Amino acid sequence: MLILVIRTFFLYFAVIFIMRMMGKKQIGELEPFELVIALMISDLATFPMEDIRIPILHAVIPIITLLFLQVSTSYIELKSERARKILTGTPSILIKNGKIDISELKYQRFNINDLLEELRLKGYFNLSDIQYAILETSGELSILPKTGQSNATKDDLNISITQESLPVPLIMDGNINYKNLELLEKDELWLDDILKKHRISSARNVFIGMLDSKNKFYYQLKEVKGKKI
Amino acid sequence: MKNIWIAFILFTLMIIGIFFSVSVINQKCNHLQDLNSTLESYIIKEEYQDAYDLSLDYIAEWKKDSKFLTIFIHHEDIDHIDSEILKLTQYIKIKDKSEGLATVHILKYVVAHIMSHEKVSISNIF
Repeated sequence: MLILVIRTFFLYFAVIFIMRMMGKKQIGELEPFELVIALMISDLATFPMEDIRIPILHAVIPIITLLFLQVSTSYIELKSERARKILTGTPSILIKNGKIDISELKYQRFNINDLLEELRLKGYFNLSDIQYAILETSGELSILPKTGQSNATKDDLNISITQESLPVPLIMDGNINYKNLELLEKDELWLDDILKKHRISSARNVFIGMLDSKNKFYYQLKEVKGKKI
Repeated sequence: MKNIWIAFILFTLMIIGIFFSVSVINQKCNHLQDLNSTLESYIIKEEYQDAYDLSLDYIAEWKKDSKFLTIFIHHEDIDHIDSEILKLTQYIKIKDKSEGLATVHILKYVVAHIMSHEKVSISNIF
């Protein structure tokens, strides 16, 4: 059984190495070591499931070892930049100052069609609109458009706004969420007042009642036998 | 941080459990190998009554131990021992020396195979 632990260690790093060699394109949305864990655990769990001759421990041991490796790897990555570089890699700049870095494109085995496709998917149809394009370690492409091409923000237009807050559910399926009321530093009387203002007789009749991001009370009443209360 | 500790504790407990289970497997297998050697010597000396009695004890003991060992060992190895030990009792009963010795030899091999599976060696890792 100790062999299972050693083999899992060996295979984990071997597959991470292979994944890193395969490049960022292969990864998708996960970091290399996350993808390795996802691939391995799914396989480990299925074999003993279908073959009753395999003791369940023979799957549980590698799964726990993988958990340990994943947690340790992410902890080491958190603490050491060098480990982060080795295990996850570094983002690659594919377009720098509006110019495609051809050697980096070749190094990443990212052909021009892939790049154009990714740019189109992000809503940029002209290469000339891009100032920077960075291939992240997860395989995603992040783009910084040229200043003239980026969307105008409310700050650009000098529109005064108030910061929106997180919506807070206060009534769910007729039950008052006292924890959230406490968070807002309000009490049941305050909620009753609001319900009265909206001509709602009781919180029990409310399916969902929440303070939205603009601090407005949003609600929907319950339905009984196809009719609203 | 909590997850790191849980993973670390779980892994440590698992490693302790593995060492414990490996020592249990070795202990049981060594005992089985002793029984195999005794059976072999009885068959060589043609003491069939003693060999038969011992093989019945072997079955009883194996039935008891195998329930526990199924947690750690591939069930195919256990099935292998099950069938070989049942054959052995019948070979001894009809005093078939050559088949009896061959079966004991297979039993010895399977038990040694189970033990060797738990050893940390290059051949096991790769």
